[in-house]
Amino acid sequence: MKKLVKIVLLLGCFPFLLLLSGCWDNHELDTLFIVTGIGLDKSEENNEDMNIALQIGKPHSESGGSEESGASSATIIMETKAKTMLEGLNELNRNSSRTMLLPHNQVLILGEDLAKEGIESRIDWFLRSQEARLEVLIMVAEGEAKEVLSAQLQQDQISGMYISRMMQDLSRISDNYEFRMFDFMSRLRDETSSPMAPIISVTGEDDKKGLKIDGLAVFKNDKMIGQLTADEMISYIWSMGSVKRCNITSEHEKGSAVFNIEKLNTKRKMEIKSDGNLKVVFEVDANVEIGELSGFDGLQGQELAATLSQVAEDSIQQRMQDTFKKAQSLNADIYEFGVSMKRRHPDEWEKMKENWDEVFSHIELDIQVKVKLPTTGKIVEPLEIGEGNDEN
Amino acid sequence: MIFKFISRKIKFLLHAAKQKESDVEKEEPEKKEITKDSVKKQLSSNVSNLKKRLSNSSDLKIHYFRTGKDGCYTGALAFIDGLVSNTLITESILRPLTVWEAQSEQEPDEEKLMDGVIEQALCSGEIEKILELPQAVAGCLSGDTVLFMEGCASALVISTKGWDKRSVSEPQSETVVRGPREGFTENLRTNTSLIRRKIKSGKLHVENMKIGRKTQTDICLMYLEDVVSSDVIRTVKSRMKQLDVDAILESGYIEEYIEDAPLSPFPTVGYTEKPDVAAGKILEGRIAIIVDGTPFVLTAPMLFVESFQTTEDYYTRTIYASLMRVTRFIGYLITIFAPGIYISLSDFHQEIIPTTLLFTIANAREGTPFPVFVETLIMVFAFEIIREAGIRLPRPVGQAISIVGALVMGDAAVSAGLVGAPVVIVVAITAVSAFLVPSQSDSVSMLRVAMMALASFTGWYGLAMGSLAILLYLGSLTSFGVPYFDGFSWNHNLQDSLVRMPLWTMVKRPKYIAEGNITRIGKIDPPLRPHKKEEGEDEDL
Repeated sequence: MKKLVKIVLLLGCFPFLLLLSGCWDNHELDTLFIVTGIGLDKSEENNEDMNIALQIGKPHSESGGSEESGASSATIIMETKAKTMLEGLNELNRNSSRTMLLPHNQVLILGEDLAKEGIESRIDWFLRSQEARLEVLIMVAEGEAKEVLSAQLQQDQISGMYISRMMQDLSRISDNYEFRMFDFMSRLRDETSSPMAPIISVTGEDDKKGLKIDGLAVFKNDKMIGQLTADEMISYIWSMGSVKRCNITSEHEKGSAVFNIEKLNTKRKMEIKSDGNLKVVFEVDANVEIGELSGFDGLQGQELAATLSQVAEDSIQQRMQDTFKKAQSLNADIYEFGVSMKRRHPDEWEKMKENWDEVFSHIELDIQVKVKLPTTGKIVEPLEIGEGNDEN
Repeated sequence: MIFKFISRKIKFLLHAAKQKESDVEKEEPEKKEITKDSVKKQLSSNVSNLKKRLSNSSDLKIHYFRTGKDGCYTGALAFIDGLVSNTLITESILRPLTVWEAQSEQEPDEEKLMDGVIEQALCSGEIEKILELPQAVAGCLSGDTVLFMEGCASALVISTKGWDKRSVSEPQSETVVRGPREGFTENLRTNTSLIRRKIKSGKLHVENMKIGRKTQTDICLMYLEDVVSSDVIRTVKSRMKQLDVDAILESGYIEEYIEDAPLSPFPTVGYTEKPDVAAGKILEGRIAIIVDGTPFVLTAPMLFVESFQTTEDYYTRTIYASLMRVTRFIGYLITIFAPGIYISLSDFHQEIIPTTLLFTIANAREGTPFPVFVETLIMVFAFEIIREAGIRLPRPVGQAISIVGALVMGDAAVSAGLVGAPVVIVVAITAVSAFLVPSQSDSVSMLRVAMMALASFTGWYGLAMGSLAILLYLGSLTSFGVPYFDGFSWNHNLQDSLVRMPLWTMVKRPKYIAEGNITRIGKIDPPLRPHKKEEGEDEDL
C-alpha cells in the first residue's frame, strides 16, 4: 500500500520533471531571426571597437498570398559597435524583437581594413561558441563587409545564401575551393602556413548588383598582407591537389587555344638539396580537351595534338610558377610546404622551422606537367570561313 | 507539508476505491431464475407453465393437434415465431403426425407413446427428449420446437431453426486486391463452416460454450489440437469459463474480458472478418474465438508483428510483399513520430533543418498565432473529428464531411493564417500513414499526442525518452502469456517479421506460439532449383 502511494507520487512528479525542466531551450520559429551572414568592419572612430553587421533573412508572412515585389529588400541588416563579437551579439539581442539564430550563418565577411589590422582577437567567439559553426565560410570584402551583406542582389536575394551557393558550386571543381572557418583556423594555428580567404566584391549598380570572387586574401599570422588575383587563385588551386573541369587560355605564336581541363592532379615531392635549401617538385597530370581553337594553320593530326599539348603544358607550368613567385615575394607559405615538410622530414623540419621564412624564400620549385589530350572536341580543325563548300 | 497532504489524499482515494470494490463483491450475483421444474403429465399445465416462463410473450405460438388413429391423442407444439422455419414444422412435424396411426390402441403408455412419436412419426434428424421444463424454454429460445403430448411427462425438442440471416459477402473492413472475397457473417455455424472449409483436418477442434446470463450467446473456440500451445488454450478457456456477465453482444466484449492488458493502448487480441485470415492464424497455432451475432472473429494470442502482416502478403510475390511490409513499418513510425519530430525541429533544433527549408518553414510560421505544439494539436484533433464524423455519418453525408474537412480545415485554416502550411502537410502524412496499420490505429493516435507533448517540452531528448518508454512497455506486454514482442526476437524464426521471406523458407510454424507439430512444410526443394525427385513427402503436416 505504502509502496503504491510512493509509486503514484513519483508518477505524479513526472510531469513536473518535464514541465519545469523542459522549455528553457524552446524557441518558436517566429521568435527567431535567422542570421545568414556576419560582417565585421573596422570602426572609423577608434581602434578598440569594430562594426558588427548581421544579415537576417527577412521573414515574410505568406498568409497575404501575393508575392512580394522586389521593392523591399529580402534581408534586414542589423548593426552595432562593440569590442568583441559576443558583446555585439548581446547588444543586438537586447535591442531587437527576436533572438538571433546563429547556426545557419553562412558566411563571415571581414572588412579589408580589419583584416589588415589583425583579426585573431575578433574571431575567438566563432571557435568557442556552440552556436557558431566551423563550416562557416570566411571571406574578405573588398572595401566594407557591410556593403556585401546589404547589397541588393539580382539572383539570390540574400547575399549570404548567394555566397554559400556560389562556393558550393565552386567546390565541385576542387575540394580546395573550400575556404571555411575550420581551414582558416587550422592554418592560423599552424606555425608556418598562411591562412587564406577569398576576396569578395560587389559588382553592378543599384538594385542590379552581383557578387564576384576577386582573388584570394593572403594572411600572415592573423593579418592580411597581400592578395592573389583571380587567375592566380585558380593556379594556386591547381597546385593544391586534384581539380575537375576548369579551363585555361593559352597564347602561342601560331594561334590561341582554350583548353578544358577535365581532370588535373598535382603530386608534390620534397627534397633537401646539398646546399641545405629545399626543392619542391610538382608532378602535374592533366587530361585536357580542346575547348576553342583559332590559328594553328597547317598543322594536322598528331602534329597538331603534340603542339597543342606542349602549349597546354607550358601555360599550366607558367601560371603555377608565377603564382609561386608571388607567394615567395609575399613570403607567405600558402602551399603549406611547412606542413608537408613536418610530415615527411620531421628531423630536418626541427632545424628549419626556426627560420622558415628564410627557407621558404629560397625554395626552388620544379613543375613537371604531363598533359594528355585524348579528344579534340566535336571538330578536329579550327573553323575556316569560306573554304568548306568549294567541292560541291 | 504539501507532500504529506497529497499522500493522504491519495490514500483516501485508494481506500474509497477499495471500499467500492468490496461493495460490488457483496452484491449477490443475480439468482438463477430458473428453478427445477419437470414436465407434467397434463398438457394444459405444461403449456401454461411454458407461457409463464416466457413471460407470456406474444411471439410464442402454441399449436394444438390430434394424432393417432381417429385422433385419439392430443398434443401441442410450442415455438417462437420468427426463429423457426415454418416449412420445416409443417413438413417434418405436422404432416407426419396427422397421418400417423399409433400401433397400439390401448391407453396411452407415456413412454411408449413418446418413443413411438420419435421413431415412427417425426421426420427430423435432431430430436431430443427432455424431462425438465427449463430445457424446453431454452429450446424455444434458440429456435427449436417443443412437442408436448397429453399424458406424457416428457417433451421433445425438435430442431427447426430457421431465421433470416445475411449471406456470405465481401467484408467491409478488410478488402483485398488478391485473395478470397468471402467474409464471416453474423451466424455462428456459417462462420465455423467457413473455417472448416479451409482446414479439412480432423485435428481442427471446435468447442462450444454459452456465455451471458441474459443473452446466452453461443461462442465457439476453434484450434488445431496438435499445434496449439497447451498453456495458451488453458488460459483462454479458464478466462472464458470465469465469465459471468449479463450480455455478450459482440466479440469486443469477450476481448475486453479476457485480454492480458485491457488498459493498454496496444491490442493484445486480434480480430478479423475474413475466414482465410482466421484459418491462417489457426494454422500458426492460434485460437479463433467465434461469437454468434458478429462477423468479427477473435484470434489469440496476438503479437505486435501481426499488426504489420496482411493476408495479401502471402498471396503476392515475396519481394513486393516485403517492400510493403517495410513500408508499413515506416508508416507506423511516421504516424507516431512525424508531428513530434516537426515540433522538436522547429522549436528546439532549428540548426539541423537545411537553411532553405528553414526559411520556408519560418515564412509559413510567420504570423500564426499559436505555438507549434498547439497548432499541431489543433490539426491532429481536427483530423480525429473529421475521421470520426466520416465513419459515423450515413454515407451520402460523409462526402460532405470530407469536402468540408479538406476545404475548411486544410485550405482555409492556412490561408486565414491560423496554422502554417507545413503543419497541414505533417498532419496529413501522419493521418494517411495511420491507415497503413489499421489494427494499431487506436494506439497510434494516443501515442502520437504523447510524443508531441514530449517533443514540445524537451525536443529530441523527449522523443528519445518517449520511444524508449514505448519500447520498454511493448517488451513488457504479453498476450496470453506470449511476449508481445516475440516475432522480432533473434532466437525465433524471423522469416515473417520485418520482411516476408519466401514461403518455402518458413518451414516451421512460429515457435513462440505453436507447440507440438511444429513443421509445416515437408521436404521440398526451394523453387529456385529444379526438382530432383519426389521422395518421402507428407509427414503428416
